Amino acid sequence: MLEVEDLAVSYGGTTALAGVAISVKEREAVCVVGPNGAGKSTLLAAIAGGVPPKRGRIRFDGKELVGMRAENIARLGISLVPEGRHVFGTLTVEENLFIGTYATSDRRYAQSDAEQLLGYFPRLKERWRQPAGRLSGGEQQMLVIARALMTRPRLVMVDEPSLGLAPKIVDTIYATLLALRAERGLTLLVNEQSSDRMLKFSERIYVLRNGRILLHGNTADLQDGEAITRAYFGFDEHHAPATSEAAA
Amino acid sequence: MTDTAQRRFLRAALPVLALLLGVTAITALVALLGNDEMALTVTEALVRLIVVVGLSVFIGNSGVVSFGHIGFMCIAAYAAAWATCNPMWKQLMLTGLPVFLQQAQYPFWVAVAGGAVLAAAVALVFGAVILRLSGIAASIATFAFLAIVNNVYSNWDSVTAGVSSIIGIPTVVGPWTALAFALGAIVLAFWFKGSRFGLMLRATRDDPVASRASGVSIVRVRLAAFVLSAFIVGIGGTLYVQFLGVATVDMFYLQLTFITLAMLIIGGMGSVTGAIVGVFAVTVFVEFFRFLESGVPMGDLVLALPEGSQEIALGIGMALILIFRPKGLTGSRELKLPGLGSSRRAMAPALTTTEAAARS
Repeated sequence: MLEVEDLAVSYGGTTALAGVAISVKEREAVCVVGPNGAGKSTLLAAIAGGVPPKRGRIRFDGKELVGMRAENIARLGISLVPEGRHVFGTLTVEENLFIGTYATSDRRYAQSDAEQLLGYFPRLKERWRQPAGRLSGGEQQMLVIARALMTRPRLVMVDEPSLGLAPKIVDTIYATLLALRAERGLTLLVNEQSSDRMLKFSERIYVLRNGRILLHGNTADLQDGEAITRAYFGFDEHHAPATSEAAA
Repeated sequence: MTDTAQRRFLRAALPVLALLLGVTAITALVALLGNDEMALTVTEALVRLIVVVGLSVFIGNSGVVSFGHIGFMCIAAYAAAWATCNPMWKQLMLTGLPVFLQQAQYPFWVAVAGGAVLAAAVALVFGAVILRLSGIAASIATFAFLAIVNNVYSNWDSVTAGVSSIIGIPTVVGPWTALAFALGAIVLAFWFKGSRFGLMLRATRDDPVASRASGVSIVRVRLAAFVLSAFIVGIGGTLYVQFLGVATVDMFYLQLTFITLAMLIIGGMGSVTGAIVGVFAVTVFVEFFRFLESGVPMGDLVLALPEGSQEIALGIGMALILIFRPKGLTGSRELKLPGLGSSRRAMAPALTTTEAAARS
């Protein structure tokens, strides 16, 4: 479904991504883990059209995304939940939720979608007419995820949903993402710093460090976590990137 | 079910109605009880209200400050002047005007509509070019636009009479005409703010990154607001010259830009209520200092502030507001009526509505 090849991005003189390749299949839950500054956010932003790549290809259902505007990529069915809970602070929860459906002007399912999502996030229903800026961090994270889903995307990319949230809320958010995937046939691409939770959540993991993929493989083959730890902390840096055979 | 729809509508419409009534009451009070001079003051204030409400349609919803809207006011005002001023004078002084404008004198409505549409058309072309820029760069570009308009209209002698005035425009605008248009501008501003485009625009103001990720085209929604706000400001311009009876380029330059922006900032940039409150607050403030400038007798001697004090006081007032109440007197919130409250449980009936609809 999504094919990223040889993707390179730099900000000024600083290289953020140096030739990254990932692929995501329909209905998969794929995770990119890596330390702060590894380039995880840049990777998702580049796919969503937020930053222009220096080179490389990004294809979604065979369609080239490089060079497209962010809002048009969103309309193809790719939804990015950016890091840091980007709610529209002065708009109400209700207005936040419906923005995406205004933009795509497909409002047939808006009401029923909203109801379904509120079933997953009942807290939002309680705060329906309040400005989103006044919600707690966890509620804001729920709101941005719900908002991203309102445009009926096929691929949802979530950038560090656990950042600054209590573990219990993070559990809820991941459980909800998986439930939504089952219900809607979503494909998920999620960034995280910690890999423990990802071993339960995703089918495949990429370890990104210093703008390169150092390891990638099926979650089932990486359960002991040893290889991930080595890649994550850079013990393998002087070797060629390790790749689990099973993923190829 | 219809009860919900009705309540929703009421919740949105009643505060607007209250504001319309408030503006009407102030106008009526001053126009009926005050002297002629006060009637002129309130008429000018209402024209400025139209301009400031027009400004807030763009600035308030997009968060991008425009210094150029008085340029749109100028364009519309001159169009109205061309349409309505005495043909004899036009043939003598404005030799470059096209024949259809030079030979005829058009009624009030044509002047208003023509001027506002011209301003909106210029905004469409200019906005399409500059609104791709980021916030601060776009602001500076609007300032450049103001300077360009001022220069063109100061020097295009055969059409604008250069820096001298166009005279002989019928003065048909009084407090009631100005009031009618001001009410219309307020309704239009509220309508836009609550519309699909208004919401998307406010989303881009709150968070550009997330709004694009939601599929919002920032340029498109900004442009829509820019054109509508130029249209409203343009109406203000056409009324202004038909209120004063003269048009001069320098009426539409830095001083008016400053005072209208001061009104918007003091009232609260983010809300239509703020624009309205700002116009009246600043008008009262300025009139008070004008009164002090003209001198207050205190026993034997007359105490008077030096001329220009009102501008200085307004500048200080604006700075104080920015320091202590950066969101303006209204806190950039809209008027809320007690009793209608923003009930948290309002969702419940909304859901039953749609559930019922889904079942049927």
